[in-house]
Amino acid sequence: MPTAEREVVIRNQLGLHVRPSAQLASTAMRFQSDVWFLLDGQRVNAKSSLELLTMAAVCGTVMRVQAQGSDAEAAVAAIAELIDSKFGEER
Amino acid sequence: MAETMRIREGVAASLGFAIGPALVVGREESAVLQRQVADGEVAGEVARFEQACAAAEADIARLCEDAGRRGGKDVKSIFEGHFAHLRDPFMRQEIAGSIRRYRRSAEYAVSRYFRQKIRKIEEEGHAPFMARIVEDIADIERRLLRHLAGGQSAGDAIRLDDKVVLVAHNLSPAQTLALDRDRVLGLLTDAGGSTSHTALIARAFGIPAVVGLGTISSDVTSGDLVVVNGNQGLVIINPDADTARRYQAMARNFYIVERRRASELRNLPAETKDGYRVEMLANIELPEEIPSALEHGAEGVGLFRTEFLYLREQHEPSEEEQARQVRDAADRLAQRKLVVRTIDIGMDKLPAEGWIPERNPFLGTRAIRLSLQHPEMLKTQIRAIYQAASGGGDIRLMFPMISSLEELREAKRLHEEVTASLGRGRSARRQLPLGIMVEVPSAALTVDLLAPEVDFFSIGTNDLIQYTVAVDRVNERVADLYQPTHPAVLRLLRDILAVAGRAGKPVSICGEMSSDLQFTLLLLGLGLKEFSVVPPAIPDIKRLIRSVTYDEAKQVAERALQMSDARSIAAFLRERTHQILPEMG
Repeated sequence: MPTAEREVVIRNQLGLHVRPSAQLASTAMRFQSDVWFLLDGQRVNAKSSLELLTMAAVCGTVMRVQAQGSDAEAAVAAIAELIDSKFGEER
Repeated sequence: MAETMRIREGVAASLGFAIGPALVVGREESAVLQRQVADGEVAGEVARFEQACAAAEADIARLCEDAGRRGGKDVKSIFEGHFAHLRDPFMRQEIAGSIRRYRRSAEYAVSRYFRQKIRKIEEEGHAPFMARIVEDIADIERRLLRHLAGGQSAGDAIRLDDKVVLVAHNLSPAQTLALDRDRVLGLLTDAGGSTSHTALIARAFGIPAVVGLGTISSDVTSGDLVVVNGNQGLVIINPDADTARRYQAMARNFYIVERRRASELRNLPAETKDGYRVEMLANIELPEEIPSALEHGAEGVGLFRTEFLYLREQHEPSEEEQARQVRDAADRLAQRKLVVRTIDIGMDKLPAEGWIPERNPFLGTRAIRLSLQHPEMLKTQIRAIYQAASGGGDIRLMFPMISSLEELREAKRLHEEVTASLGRGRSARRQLPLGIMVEVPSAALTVDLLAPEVDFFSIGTNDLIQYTVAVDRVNERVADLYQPTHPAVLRLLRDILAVAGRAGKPVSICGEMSSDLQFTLLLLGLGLKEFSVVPPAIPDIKRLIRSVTYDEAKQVAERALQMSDARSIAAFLRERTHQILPEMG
């Protein structure tokens, strides 16, 4: 099973609050692959917006995104792109 | 049988004044009992849960629409988030699974799931930042529980038959949004800070609000007459007739232009008609406030308070934690100015072993005095600020409550000890600009002696007034003697600005006086070039500055200085402000 993994850093000022975590989950949901975030030894299901919210990831948090499945590479790329874009909250 | 007037201080969350009868609304508790159901009822519980989800979704879809119409984009995005979370398939699976597997009642399974999430977030410990997320999750939970109890979607609306000042422990975003704007004169809550949802929505609606009052929901009884002073974060319970009249007039005259004007004014300079430019800076407590400050048009931060970390932890925060906070603020400001004030609290707020309460804490171990008695604490803070500054940005350092040259030199000596130790092994570390607060009359009268030793001054008018007229403004028995327009205060301000100006040292005012539109002309006319204010006040102050010439302001200041009593001066300033901006004060 193809896997992909990448480090991401939360850069938007308000961190993973209500809206960004919902955006992340809906992006992850577009892919067949299972997608997780790895943070402090926890593995969090990226397709569950409430789980993401529970990570309490503030601005500056470094974590890894990991995917496993036929479209793992694309899933990781899409998630990383969304995070790098600061969820469209700031320029 | 007039009740005694009482004053409470909280966090100014939304500008404006209001006076009216209080309506205290109860706390919505969601105590759910652990309950199991019979095997035969499990399918029914799952179905009830699914119905509640559907009903809650319909609710929120309606709220989104409502929010978009009445509150704008920011308010709407809160509910869009709730909607997405409510549809989280994994949440649904987990709760349905827990009903099936453990024969839990739907209520208990829902409550258990959300409580776990909240507990986990609280364990992460980013208290002020996470408060909002917890508020959101609790709101989703409450909504589901309400539908499970067979509640109607009208549950968010608080029934109001009269115009009232709403008093609550806390309001959920949905409750705040559902408020009848025509009937809610003002908003007071025990909980919350200036960045809470309640504050955000109150500002978007233009409802004056004071939050973080601690116990207001028990201090006030429904029907009490209360005054909301959203500009200064003050609440007056059972005001006397004079105070009531004064606030009635202020409430009538206060015109909410903030939202409309903020966006137009954001990118325009704070400049008089004849091109005299002043700098608009923000006072903040948390780095998270910076985005909103910039949105209001702040050009930097003139006062970053650092007490919050000490108060939250109830002990000294680590150097790393302090550095992280300052770095966070600097990053959000990019290259804009950031003035970090070293700890400014009294010993009474920082419990330590063996501490004996002082008879008069205002004249006791406060601010820089506390720091100088605990040099390691101050040095740790300075080191943290330098550590943060190594990442770039325009960071400046400020000592509060300096009352003599000796004290300043002692603080500078500790500062030098820190920079010297940092200097070793690293290449030419730059010295940060160093300033002091002028908030004690002894400093105000010796600016010429202090000037050669500092790079800048910032006037703390709250304490300066308090110490000059010898009035504790929270003591309701003498509060009306606290007069910012006392001729003694005006003379002190004039002299500080003039003397510092001659010495070539910039001066800002970060006390409440600079946030109050009534004093803008006076301060501008006295030669103030840096206003450091509460962010929501920026648009109006800018607008006033842009509506006059520097000469006009100078004439106002000169005239005020010739007058002999505080009341006439205040009336004169109000009248001149009103002439220039008729819809304001």
